[in-house]
Amino acid sequence: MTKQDIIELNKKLGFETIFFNKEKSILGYTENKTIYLNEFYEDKLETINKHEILHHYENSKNFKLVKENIFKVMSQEEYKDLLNKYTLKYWGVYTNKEIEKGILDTEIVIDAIIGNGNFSKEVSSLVEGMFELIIGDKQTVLEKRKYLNLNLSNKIEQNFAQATIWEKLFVENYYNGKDRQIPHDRKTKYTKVREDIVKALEEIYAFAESKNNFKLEYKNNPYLEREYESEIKVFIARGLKHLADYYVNNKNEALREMATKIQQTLYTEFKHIVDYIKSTEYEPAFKYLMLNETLTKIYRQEKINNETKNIVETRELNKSIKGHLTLNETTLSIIYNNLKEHSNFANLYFAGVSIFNKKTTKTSEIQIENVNTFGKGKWIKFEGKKSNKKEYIKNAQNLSALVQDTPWCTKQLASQHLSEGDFFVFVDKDDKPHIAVKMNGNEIDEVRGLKGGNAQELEDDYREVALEFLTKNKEIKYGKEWLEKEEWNKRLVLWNTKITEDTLDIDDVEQLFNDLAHKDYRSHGYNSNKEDLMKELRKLDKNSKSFNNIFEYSHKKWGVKSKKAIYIGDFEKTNKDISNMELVIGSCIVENELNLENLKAVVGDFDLRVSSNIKELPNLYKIYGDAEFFNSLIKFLPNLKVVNGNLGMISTGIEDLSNLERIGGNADFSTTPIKTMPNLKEIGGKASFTYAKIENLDNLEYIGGNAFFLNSQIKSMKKLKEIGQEALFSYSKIQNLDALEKIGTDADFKRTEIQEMRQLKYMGGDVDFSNSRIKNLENLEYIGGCANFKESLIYFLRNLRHIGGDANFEKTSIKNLPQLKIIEGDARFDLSSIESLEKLESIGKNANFSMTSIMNLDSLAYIGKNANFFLTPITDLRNLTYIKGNANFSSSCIKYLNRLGYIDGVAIFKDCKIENLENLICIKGCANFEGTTIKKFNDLCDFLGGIKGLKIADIENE
Amino acid sequence: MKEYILTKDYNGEIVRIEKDKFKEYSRVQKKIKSLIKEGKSFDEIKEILSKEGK
Repeated sequence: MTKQDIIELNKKLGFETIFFNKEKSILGYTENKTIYLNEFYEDKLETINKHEILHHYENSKNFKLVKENIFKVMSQEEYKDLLNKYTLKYWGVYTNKEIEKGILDTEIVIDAIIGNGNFSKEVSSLVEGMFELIIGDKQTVLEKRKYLNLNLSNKIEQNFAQATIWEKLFVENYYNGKDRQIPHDRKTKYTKVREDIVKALEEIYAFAESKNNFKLEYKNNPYLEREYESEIKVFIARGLKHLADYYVNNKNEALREMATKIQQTLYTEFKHIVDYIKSTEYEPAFKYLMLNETLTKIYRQEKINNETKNIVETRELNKSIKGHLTLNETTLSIIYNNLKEHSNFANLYFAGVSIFNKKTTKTSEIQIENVNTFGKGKWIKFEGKKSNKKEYIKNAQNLSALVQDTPWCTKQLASQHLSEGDFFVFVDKDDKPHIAVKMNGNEIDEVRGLKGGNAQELEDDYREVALEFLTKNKEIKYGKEWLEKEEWNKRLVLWNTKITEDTLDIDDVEQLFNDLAHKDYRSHGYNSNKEDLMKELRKLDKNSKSFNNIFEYSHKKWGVKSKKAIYIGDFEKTNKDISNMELVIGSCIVENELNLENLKAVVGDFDLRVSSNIKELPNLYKIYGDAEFFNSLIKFLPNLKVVNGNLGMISTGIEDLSNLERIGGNADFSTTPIKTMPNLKEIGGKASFTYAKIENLDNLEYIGGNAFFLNSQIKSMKKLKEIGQEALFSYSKIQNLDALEKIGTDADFKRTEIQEMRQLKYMGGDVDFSNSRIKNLENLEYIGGCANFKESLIYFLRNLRHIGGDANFEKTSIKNLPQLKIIEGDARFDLSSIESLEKLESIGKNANFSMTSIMNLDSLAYIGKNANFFLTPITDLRNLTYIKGNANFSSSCIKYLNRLGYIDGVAIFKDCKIENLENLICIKGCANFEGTTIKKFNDLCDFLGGIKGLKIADIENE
Repeated sequence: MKEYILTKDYNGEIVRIEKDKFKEYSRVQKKIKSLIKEGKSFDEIKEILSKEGK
């Protein structure tokens, strides 16, 4: 017990504690509810304190009970000896009458409980935990029994004074007074204890060698059952009832699969710890105690009433599924060296974990390009089995340690989680975790936060951090969609409750409709939560408040005339006629001859098949799901305003969609005769207009996916601001994209008529303007991939700063790229008209300046591969420092190499004007100087590949 | 009300005695220690102390 522990214990019992150290002969005393303790006796403080405290409890029921039991196990001989001893001990203190009444018995009992003096084994083993029992601190009793006991009894301290502290702790914890007896023989006790330590340690090492020792029972295993139940709950919450059903119907199989997986990870985890501990130099007693602790106990932390509590459970080897202690270089060293600071092993262990976490968060922070953390903390990555097979168990230990103080089950199942994929944790500035992202391959499996305790939702403060990570991290597929799906599922459950309780408001209806028609990115529309909701909706009484609100909403929005005109359910050819319906809440596959002229909205997919006679849907305003008209007879959709999902128009005769404003998904108008969509503002997904007849989409502002206009008649999209992905306009008639600011990935304008895109700033991928009439891209700043302007008319690119791939300006008439700083690929300026590249600093691959018009390279410092200056008019290389490949200066005008220090390949200086090697330090390949006279040779330069034809002028004679 | 203090006996073990008896107690315990050193048995020590007390 530390002083602090004593203070806290006494406080619990209603005493204040004051330490003094003046008078050596007084160990302690009590005055007005304050216990004074002499800190001169530092190693005995706990015993002194307990002695004093027990006197305050000597008349309690529990004390009397303990007293009774002690004397029951005590032999008459021992009692007689003790009585003699205590007579001397208390000579002159008590009267004969008091002694006759048994006052010395009380002193004997107190001393037995606190280990003050020598008592028989029977007494010693009986009194364990009795102090706590007497003072009524049951929790401490339990804790003491559960934790590795770090409190040495006086007896062990005295009897094993020559042993190390860990050997003493081995004695304290290993021997049980039954089949394991503490060696007592004075001559052999140390040898015997050390033999026992080695034997016990070897047994654990051997234990770790067999996987069979870790086999989990899958029948009647409450821990596994709990995990199984929670898996089922997760499936249900995610709308995957079919998987939940599979689990329910194949319980044994599911449990067996789970057990197999978990036992493998637990075995690997323990083996990893054993292998590590084996390799360390720690003393055997310490090694044994640590391994035994993780093999027999489970340590975790829980937040109870905002306070972190250490929880210790007994590990049942064939049943428990929770992971092992984090025992690594850091935690072990802290445990080993800080024994004196903690009287309780859990506190000591978690102190080690806490220090280790600080280390982890410092060293494992990852920077993710373009992902903002809003100054709230940092992301930590733990590589899983698929990314790092060798280290994933070690990573699992680190992960488990980091998330100890959270409600996430990862703290116990880290190895299992990492066996499925990587894991990301976001920690705040104090290294406290807030967001957990579990991956399965490169897809999201789970995102967890700290809000709502076990609900583990994202805290409002960290929502934007999670969203940023999920949407912008290129390593993660479907991050944003995963999050949307989670929220969608929660809303589906909420609507179900509202329908069942008949509390649906009119303000809920639009979101309800959107959710009913929504599809997630994985299951193509199937969702058991949605199915359940549809079932409840179908049961809805037409006079209920909820139904009434649905009607009110549809009436206001589309003029639905009566409740009878609302059909709830999916409509297929076998269903009853929906001819008179105005609103269908469900999907429609229309194959037969129907009159749907009153239909105003479909809350689901609408699929008009070739066999239907429908040519006109005069009142249809909105389709909440996909709308497929492929090959149908449809000719008129005069009022269609919104399609939330995809719109398929291939092989239809439709020419006019004058009222259409928004397509939420993909729009396929390839090869269609569509001529007018004057109000279309947005296409959320892909836009396919290949070979389409339409000439303008002048109100279109946004295309979220690819824009395919190859060979189309499109001439103008003057308000289009953004194309989310690829833009394919080659061979089209496009002339006007005046508002376009961004193209997300590749752009192909090959052989187009377009001359300018003055607002265009960003092109994320490869860009091809070859043979186009493009002249002006004056605001373009960034090209993410290759830039091909070969034989184009490009003239203005004055803001271009970055080209992510190759740059080809061959046979262009552009003269100036004043802001260009980086070309990451090959740079071809041969036969170009470019005269100035004043800010260009780096060319990632080959650079070709032969027969160029460029006169100087003011800032260029680095060429990543070969550099060709053949017949170049450039005279001074100024800042060029490094050429990572071959350099050809033959027949060039280059006179000054200036700062050039390294050429990693062959250097050809044939027939050139270079006179001075200046700062050149190394040429790795052969240096050919044929036909060139060097006036000033640099003696310090290493010609590692040899020199050919070097002629040095005699300067002095000149 | 009696006041107690914790101190050490002849053997260095903890004992709790009345504060007022501390001086006399210390003296007696020292005596016991020296008698034990002299090799006296329990009965002999008891006898010596009893006589002294009288």
